Amino acid sequence: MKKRMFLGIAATVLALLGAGAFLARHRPSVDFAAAAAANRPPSIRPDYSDTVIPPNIAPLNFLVEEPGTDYAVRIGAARGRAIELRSRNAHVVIPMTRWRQLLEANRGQDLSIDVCVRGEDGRWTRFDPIVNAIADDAIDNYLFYRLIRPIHTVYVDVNIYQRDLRTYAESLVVSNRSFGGGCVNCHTLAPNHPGRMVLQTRGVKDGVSYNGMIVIRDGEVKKIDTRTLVRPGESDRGRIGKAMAAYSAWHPNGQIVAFSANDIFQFFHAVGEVRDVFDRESDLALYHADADTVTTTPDISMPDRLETFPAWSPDGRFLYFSSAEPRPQSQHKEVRYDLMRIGYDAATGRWGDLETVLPSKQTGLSITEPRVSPDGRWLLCCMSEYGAFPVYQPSSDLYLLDLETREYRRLEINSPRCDSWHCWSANGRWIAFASKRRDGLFARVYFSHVDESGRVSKPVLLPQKDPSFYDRFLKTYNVPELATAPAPASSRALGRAIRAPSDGSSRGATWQPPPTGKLQ
Amino acid sequence: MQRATWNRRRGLAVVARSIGLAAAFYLYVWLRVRPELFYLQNPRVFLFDSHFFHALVDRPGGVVDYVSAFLSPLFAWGWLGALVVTTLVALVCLATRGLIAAGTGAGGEIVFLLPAVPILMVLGQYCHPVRPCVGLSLVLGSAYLYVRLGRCRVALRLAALVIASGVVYFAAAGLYLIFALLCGWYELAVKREYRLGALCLLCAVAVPFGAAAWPLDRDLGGAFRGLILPDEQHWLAVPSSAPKAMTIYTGALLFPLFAAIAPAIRRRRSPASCPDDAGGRDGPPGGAGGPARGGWKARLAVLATMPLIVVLADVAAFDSPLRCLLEMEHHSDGQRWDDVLARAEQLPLSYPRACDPRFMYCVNRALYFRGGLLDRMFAYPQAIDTPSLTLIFEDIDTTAGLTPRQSSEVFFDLGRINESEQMAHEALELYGNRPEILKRLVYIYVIKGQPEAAERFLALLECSLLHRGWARRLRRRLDADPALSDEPLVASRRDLMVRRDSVGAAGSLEKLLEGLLEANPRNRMAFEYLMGHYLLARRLNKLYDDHRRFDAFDSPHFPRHVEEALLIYMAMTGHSPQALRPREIRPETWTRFGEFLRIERASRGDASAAFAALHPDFADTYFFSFVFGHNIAPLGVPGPPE
Repeated sequence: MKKRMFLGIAATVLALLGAGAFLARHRPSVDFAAAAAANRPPSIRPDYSDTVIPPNIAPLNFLVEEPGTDYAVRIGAARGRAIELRSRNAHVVIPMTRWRQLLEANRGQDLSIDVCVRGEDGRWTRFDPIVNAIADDAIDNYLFYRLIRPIHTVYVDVNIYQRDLRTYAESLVVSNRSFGGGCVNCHTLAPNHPGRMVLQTRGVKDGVSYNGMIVIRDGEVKKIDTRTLVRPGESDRGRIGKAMAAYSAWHPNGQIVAFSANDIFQFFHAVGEVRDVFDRESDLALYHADADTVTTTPDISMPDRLETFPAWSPDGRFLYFSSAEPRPQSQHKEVRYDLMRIGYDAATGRWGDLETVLPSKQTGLSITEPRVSPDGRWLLCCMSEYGAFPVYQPSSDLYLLDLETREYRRLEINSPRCDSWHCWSANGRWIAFASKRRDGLFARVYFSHVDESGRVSKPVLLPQKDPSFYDRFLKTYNVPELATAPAPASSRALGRAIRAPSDGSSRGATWQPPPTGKLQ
Repeated sequence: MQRATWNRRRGLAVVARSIGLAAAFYLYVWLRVRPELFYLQNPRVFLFDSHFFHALVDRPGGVVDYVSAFLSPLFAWGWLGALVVTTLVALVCLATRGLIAAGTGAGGEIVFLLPAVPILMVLGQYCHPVRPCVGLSLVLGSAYLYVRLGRCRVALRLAALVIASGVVYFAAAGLYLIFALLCGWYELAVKREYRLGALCLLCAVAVPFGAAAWPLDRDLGGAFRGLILPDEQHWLAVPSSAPKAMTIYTGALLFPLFAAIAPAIRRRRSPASCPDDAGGRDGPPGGAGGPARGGWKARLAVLATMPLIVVLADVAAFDSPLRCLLEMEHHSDGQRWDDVLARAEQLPLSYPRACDPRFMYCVNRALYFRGGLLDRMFAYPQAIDTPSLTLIFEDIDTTAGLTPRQSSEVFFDLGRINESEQMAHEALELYGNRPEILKRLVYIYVIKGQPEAAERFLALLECSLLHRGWARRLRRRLDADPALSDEPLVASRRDLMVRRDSVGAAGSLEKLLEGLLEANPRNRMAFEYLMGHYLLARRLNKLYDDHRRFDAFDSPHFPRHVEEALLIYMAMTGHSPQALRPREIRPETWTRFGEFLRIERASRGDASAAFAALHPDFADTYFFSFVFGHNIAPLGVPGPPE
């Protein structure tokens, strides 16, 4: 008897649930044509309108910022069935599979978003459609970034993550908790070599040092201390032998990492943006991964210059970097970096001539974080009022330099707030950058499409499943880096490598570095 | 029929007794322990947000953390916190009863209540009770469910063990050890399944070790998390005596285990049948369970001893001075300054934390807001050359690592908005999302003219359990006026804040305060704190040179401690009091100074004798602290007087 009663209750509950689900899925569709026209596009957040979107991006969920009691959204394009959504709240969450199908079927076409809102009076209002272009060019599948609070001095929770841009899946690459606190930063992926990556770690706990550069090469993970690998007589002022590696860039051959060794000093302002950074010294050098050796040349490690932010040209023939005349910290607002480059032949190890690509005197601004497009045509960089740490400067903007004509321009996509930490996709058609445009405090990742003529589209905010996610997310996205493949090592392997002592065992074992000298 | 009646009567008696004891426990926790003091230790914001959920739950022990995070804010209301603790302790006791029943065939009538005693002692040590109680309830409940499978075949129990090991370890982390030990005890002692029992005992160690090595790659401390005292990141969350607190905490965790095992061991000494064969846990008197065997007189006697045990536990474990300090901080957070000073006077000076600069900071802050900083600060414990005024150290990294919460607070009060912002962010990084820090950041960004940044923090608070109302009200006001011009807190800070940029001032209190007075010479707090700083740093020349700053405040005479300091300075340097005009040092201060010098000279250079002779009458003067470096009697003479 009891069993029969239980089964009856269970069947009733199941039937009610099924009926509810059916009704929810098959609510009468809204007649968009019959709705009153608002004659303006709807206000949506994030602002995904009038832009170009990658064909392989996760659904761009958004919030309709129009008052109403019922919301209907139709997302359609030239080919394929439109996605129709209806919701009692303003959250528009787009189903993943149908979104993918729609975007894939309509590469190079327009994507139209129609929004209808029912007001308190029960009448529907139709807004003008939001039209975005679906790019033909895909963006890299992965994005690496560091998530931190607006950090000043204390580092408790510093993690590098990777995000699959096709979905919302975010996974940990490495955490500072794996070595009891400290800092992990400057993750750098090798172009054309998905199995290669470097990142920097800093930290001392209970007398144990976790400082080092973690080098991942095709499954092998090891920690090195670049200071101990410098060949005698390489640097005439020895900064390379004193400071740990910081900003780095892989040579396209995947064998060499150019890095800067900086004596960085953080200080704080009494008014305006609190944080600021000052480089007391910095030089550049190369880490030869096969030989575990560090080399440099006087032109990139001058005693009377600060050289930093190395970036290779895609053919590997030039090393671009920022360089400034050092000044005392009291004159920090006078320090402005020039954009330089120097020739390099990776086969012979010979250095070429040093050349000023764009002097700060010409721009009146400090030029930092140069990144060359994969086709070698463009150089994207930051320009800010002073110094080498644009992320703390509201004046920081992105500039595009045509390497053929040497003409540069401030990108229209900049905001009045800080825009920095940019990178290129592997196909050179997308840039990702961090911008504090929403609130001036928390950096978020944006993408923009770049066409052959260097025209850059309106930025698209990195989508999240919950469209209100960024409203209350109190961490900042730092150093976004696009990548075609996931992290080449697990967080567990990286944690172990960080905890291990610096590896110098293979130093100079079989490989002889080429002689240094000028290219003819 | 007779047996059923007896069972019903006994059941009612047990229920009545349990409710009575739970009520007594509840009242003890509410009125004696005061659960709102635990909220002070860990006021982390609980969010109804999937990101918050995933951030907590994706690691071993995360489920217990999540439930604890939900329950912790309820401690903001003392009565509700007491109810939470009582409920959790009741769950622990019920699970213990079930385990005793599984081992002995009867639930025990008193023994199962005993785990409440060490938990009560944990409360008395002011170790936050929620996480251990939630964890214990979970592992004991899981163990109870396991022993309920006692009639099933060994293979099924083995499968249950494997599944439960994964689930319980992931939910409770290190407390899994207790689950595995209980299962092992049950298999070995009750079911006599030695191989399965041995496996359980092996799992108790192997599962956390295995989790540490693979796949979670945690350190051993992390793998056994939950077995050690929780780290609450508040200076008063650290017990006064770590060995004592650790012993009590370990006892609280292991006592349910012993409570479950002990009756079974006792039962095994006298021949009886296997409980599973006895047909359940109920039965007539004499079945099992220790106290039940002795009849109502024995039960009454045992019941009567319960209050005695509680009193003894209270005497042995309750940390009254710590409660006094916690209450002081509680009142300080609520800006009830008179209560802060009242609690400070109750704190025995022999208590080690009476010398902690954080205690003195609270007192000095309360004194400032009650208008008595420069007149009465030495009536309370003070130590020269300590950062007890503001908790700002010369090295900014030290301030950021040790006292970011308090320094952010005092920077905000003073009007150093950028420095307050910096320290608030340091505090968020160290302690997580604490409501008072988030609220301060909201105001900071409004004051700085960055309402969009303020909205980030506001949006987070809108998702919280306790602060959503405040956040929504403020958002409505922000929508109407992004500058919050009519908010007195914002307007007053705007008047005080510095407008000229400088760098690197955060490490020098003097520069910070002078910068504020440069921006607004009538910034009373900056002025009084600067004078207080001169007193504590023995910089009497600066005090003398800056006495004209008093003109900005229309005070007819100098505050008492300033007069005392000026007297010392003039006596040491021969400066004339005429230079202080129109203000004069009051005659009573001259008299006291003369009396102080007379007694000090009478001691003929014997510092200890001088200290002993002067302390009773002069401990509340600046003279005394200037000479001896502090005015805390139990510390004695630090060295030869200057």
